[in-house]
Amino acid sequence: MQKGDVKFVLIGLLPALSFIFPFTFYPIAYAVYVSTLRYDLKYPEQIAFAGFDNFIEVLTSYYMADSVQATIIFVVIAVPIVVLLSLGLAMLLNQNFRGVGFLQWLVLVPWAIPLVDSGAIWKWIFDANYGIFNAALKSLGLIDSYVPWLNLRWPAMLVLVIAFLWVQLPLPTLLFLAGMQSIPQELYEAAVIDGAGAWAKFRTITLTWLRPFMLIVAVYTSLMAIWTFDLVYVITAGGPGNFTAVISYYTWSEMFTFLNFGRASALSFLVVLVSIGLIIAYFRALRIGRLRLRA
Amino acid sequence: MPQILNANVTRRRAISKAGAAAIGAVAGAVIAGAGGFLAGSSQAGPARTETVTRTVTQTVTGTVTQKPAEKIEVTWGIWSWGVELVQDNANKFNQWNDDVQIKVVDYGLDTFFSGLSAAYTAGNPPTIHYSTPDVTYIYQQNGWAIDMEQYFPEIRRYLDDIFPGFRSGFINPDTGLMSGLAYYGGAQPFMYNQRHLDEAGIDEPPKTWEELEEQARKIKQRGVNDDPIGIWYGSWGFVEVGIYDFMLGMAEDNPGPYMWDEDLNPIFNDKNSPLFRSLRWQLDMIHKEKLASTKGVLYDEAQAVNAFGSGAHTFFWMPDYDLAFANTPPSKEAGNLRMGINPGTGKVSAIYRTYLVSKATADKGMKHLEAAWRVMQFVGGRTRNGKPDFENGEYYVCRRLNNEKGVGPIYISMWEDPKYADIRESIKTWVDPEIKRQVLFNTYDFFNDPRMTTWWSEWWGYWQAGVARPAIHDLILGNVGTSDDDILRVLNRIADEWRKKKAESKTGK
Repeated sequence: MQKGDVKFVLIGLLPALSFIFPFTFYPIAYAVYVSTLRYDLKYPEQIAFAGFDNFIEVLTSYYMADSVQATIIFVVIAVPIVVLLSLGLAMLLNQNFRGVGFLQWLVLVPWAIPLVDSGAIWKWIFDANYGIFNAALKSLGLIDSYVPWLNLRWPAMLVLVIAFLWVQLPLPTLLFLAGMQSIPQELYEAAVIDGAGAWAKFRTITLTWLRPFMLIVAVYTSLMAIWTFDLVYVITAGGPGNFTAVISYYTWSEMFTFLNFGRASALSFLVVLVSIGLIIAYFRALRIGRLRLRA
Repeated sequence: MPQILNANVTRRRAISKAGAAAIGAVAGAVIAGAGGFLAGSSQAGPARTETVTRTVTQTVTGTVTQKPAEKIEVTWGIWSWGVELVQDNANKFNQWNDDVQIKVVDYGLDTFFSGLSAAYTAGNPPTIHYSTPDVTYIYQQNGWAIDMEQYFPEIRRYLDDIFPGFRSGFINPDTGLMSGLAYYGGAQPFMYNQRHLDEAGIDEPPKTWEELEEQARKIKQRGVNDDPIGIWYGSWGFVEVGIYDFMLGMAEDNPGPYMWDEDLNPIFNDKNSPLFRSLRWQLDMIHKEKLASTKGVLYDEAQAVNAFGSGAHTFFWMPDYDLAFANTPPSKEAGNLRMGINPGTGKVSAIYRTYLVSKATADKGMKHLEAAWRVMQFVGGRTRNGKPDFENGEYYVCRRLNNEKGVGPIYISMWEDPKYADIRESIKTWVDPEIKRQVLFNTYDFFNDPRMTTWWSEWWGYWQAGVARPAIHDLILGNVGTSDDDILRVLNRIADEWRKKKAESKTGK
C-alpha cells in the first residue's frame, strides 16, 4: 500500500471513527477508569481512587460463584442448540419448494420484536395460572393442575433458553444460508460422480464449507448469551432463588439497584475480558474461514 | 384579554406614550381602580363601560411591556407515571399564578433515582421532586435536601392530618423537622373473594390467622378454590407483602420495632420474632397444609392483579389501588373482591411517597424557596385556585389523584370531611371506603422500624435484588429445606449482611 493510499484509507475511515471513538471507545475507557474508583452515586462527595478494591469486592461477592455457574449453564445449553438449529433451518430454507420465500420471511419475525416484549410473551406462555403451555398439557391429560414452571430450576433455565433461541436464531440462520448459497454447485456434481451419498455430501462439502460460518455463529451466539439480560430480567428475574441470575443481571443490579458504578464497571470489565477472549477467537475464525474458502 | 382592549392602541404607540416607570405605578392604581369599579358595577350601562375600558387599555399595554412581571421557575421532578395528569396540574397552577411557573421534568420510572441523583451530583437538581423515605434520608445526609419546616414552620399543621402510621416518614429523624408534604399514601391490605366465601358457606372474613387457615381449608375441601391463600413474593411485593404484611399481622402483643432494636441491631433472626413466626406459618401453609402455593414467587404486580382478579386465590394481599383493576370489568371476578382488615393485629405495611425540596433551591434565595413552598402546597397540601389556603382550601392535586387515578390520599380529613365526599364516592365501585379508612388507620411505617438509616437504600436493594430475596425464595420453594433451623439459617445470613452494612457506614446511623 502506498503513502497516498494510507491517507485515503484514513480519510475514508474518519466518518466512522468519529462516531466509534466518542460512543464506543471513550465509554469503555471511562468504564475502566470508573472501575478503579469508589463511585457510589448516592454519595458522590465520597468518590475516591480505590485501586482494585472493586474487582476484589466483585470477585468475592455473594453472587459471583452462583452467577458464573448460571452463566456457564446458560451458555453451554443455549449456544450449541442455536448453532444446530440455525444450521438445520438454513438447510431447510436453502431448498426449492413452494412457500420457501414466506418461510424465510417468517424466520426473521422474532428479530423485529423487542427483547423485552419477547420475554413478556414467553413469560405469559409459561404462566402458572393461565399460561397456554399449561393449558395445552392439561388438555392433553399430561398434567392434573397447572405447574409453576418458572419456579422449578431446570424448567426455568430451559424457558430462558427457548426464549433466547427464538430471538437469536434469525441472524445465524441467515449467515448459514448465505454460506450455503455461496457453495459452488460443481462440488456437489463432482461428489455425485464420485458416488457420494447425501450424508457424505453434507459432511465433506457443506459442513467443510460452512466451518468458518459455524465458528462465527458460535462466537457471536456465545457473546449474546453471556450478555443476555433482558430475557432474564423479564422472565425469571434471576429466579427461582438465583438459579438463572446470570452475570449481566448483577451488573444491572449493581448499577441501577445499588447505584454503585464502581462495582458495576468492574463487573462489566471482567465480563468484557472474557468477551475479548471470544472476540480473538472470532477473528481467528475469520482468518481460518478466508483460507479455507480460497483453497 | 378581551378584544376591545386590543382594538384601539398598538403596543408601540402605547410604549411611546407611557414610557416612564412612574406612569406604570399610576397605571397599576388605575388598573386596580378600574378593575374594582368594573367588578362592582355590574349594573353599569354599556356606553359607560366602554369609556372606562379604553382608558385602561392604553395604560395597561404600556406598563406590561415596560416592566414584565418576573416569573420564578419551579422545576418539578417526577417519575413516568400519570404524566398527563401531572402536566395538567402544572398547567392549572400556571394559569392561576402569574409569578411562578412550574416546569415538569420527567426522570423516567426505573431510572428515576439514578437520574435524580445524577442531577444532584451535577448541581442541577429540580426544585421539588417525588421521593421515597430511604432516598429522602440519603439526600438529607448529603445536604442535598432541606426540611421545609426549618423555613416554613406552618407546614407542621399538616402532620396531624396525616394518618398516624405514616407520620414518621415525614420527619427527619436527625432534626425532628418535617421535610415535606405527601404525594400519596396507601397500604398493602388483606383482600378476599366474597364469592368464594359464599360458595363455601362462610359468613364473614377471618379475623385471626387460625380462622384464615380454617376457612382456606374449607374452601379447598369444598372445591371452590384449590389455591386459596395467595402470597405475592415476586418483584417488590416480596418485601412489602410477603415479608412485612404477614409479619405485622402476626405480631400480636408487640408494638414494634420488629426488625431492629433502638441501636439498630437485628432482632428478626430469632425463633420468637414475628418474622420467624410468619415464615414458619407460610411454609406450613405451602408445604404441609397445601393451602397455598409457590406461584406467588413468579408474580410481578400485573400478574398479582390478574391472579386475584381471575379468581386464582381467595385470600390475597396487594396494594390497595390495585384492587381497582382486579375488582372492575373486564376482570373475571369484578364485584366479588373485598378489602378487609388484616387478620391478627390488623396492621399492614404503609406505602407512601413524599415531596422533597432541594437545598439548591434554598441557596437561590427566599423568593425561590417561597415559590417552592407554594408549589408544594398545591401538589400536596391545601390551596384555593392555586394559592395556599390551609384553612379553607382543598387538597386539589391529591383529590385529582384519587378521583382520576385511584391513588389514595394520606390525609385523614379527605376521608372524613363531608366536603371530600367525592373521594369516598369515587372508589365505591371497587372498595368499601370505610374499610379503606380503617386500613389506613392500621398502617405501619416499616421504613422507620425503628428509624431510617443511611444504608437503608442499599439494604432495600439487597432485599429486592441481593441475597435476601433469592434466599427466602429458595426457602419458600423448599430448595433449602423448610425446618425451623433452615429458616433461622436464612435469617441469620440476612442479619449478617445488615451488620456488615452497618459496620461499613461511616456514621452507623
